Amino acid sequence: MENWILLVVIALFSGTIAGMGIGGGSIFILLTTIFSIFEHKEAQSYNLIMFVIVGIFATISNFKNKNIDKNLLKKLIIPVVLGSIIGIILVKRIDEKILKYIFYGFMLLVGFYEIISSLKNIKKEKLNTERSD
Amino acid sequence: MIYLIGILCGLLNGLFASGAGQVLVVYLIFCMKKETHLVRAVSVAVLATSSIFAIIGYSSFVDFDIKKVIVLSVIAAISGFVGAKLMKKIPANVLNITSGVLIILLTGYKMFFGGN
Repeated sequence: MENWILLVVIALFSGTIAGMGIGGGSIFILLTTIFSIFEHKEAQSYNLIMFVIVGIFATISNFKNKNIDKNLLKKLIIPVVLGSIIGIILVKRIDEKILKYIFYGFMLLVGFYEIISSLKNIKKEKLNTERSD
Repeated sequence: MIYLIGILCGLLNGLFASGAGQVLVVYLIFCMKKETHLVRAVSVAVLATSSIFAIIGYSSFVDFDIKKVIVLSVIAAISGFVGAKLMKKIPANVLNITSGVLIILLTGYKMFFGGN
């Protein structure tokens, strides 16, 4: 029972973050494995299911509010589906260990890049508002 | 280039089941200078589609507990709506920094505590 309450709280929290498009899946996997609700692969699978539904509802809402770039979406949808199919074929064949470390390096790079670029943007915006004052 | 990034993003999602959206988002926001909110909305839509395929790949690893699937689905529907509404109100830089921190946290955790 305790597990259920925890799972619901984690799901609500990470689902909301996922709906915002800032990595809710990561939090879901992180928290459910830390509290040993799921094994790692299980967490990933449940996360995928959740994310499909979060995505559908968030996208409906974004379309209603015109908060989405439709052109980009049209361009991306086919390549992404193609990539996914290649991905699931490869996932069973590739040496996980090598792949894992490439992925870690890649993700850390992306994360730091995102933070540094945002901080630079904030600085620039500050300078601009100071100048306009 | 955008098509290549699309393929890469789908590939990563199929392989790792999380984090792939970030690659797409970072490319579009910081390299193509697109607007953060519009891009994150696209990434949610695209990744949800990709995840349908990824589930097929992962379903052979896991026996799903149908009760948990139902509960999580209901929560997902509600929180998807709430998240999309909230996202509009949060400044772009805050969104981008938060997601950067989250991705580093998850990667760090995966590196040191194993799992996939």
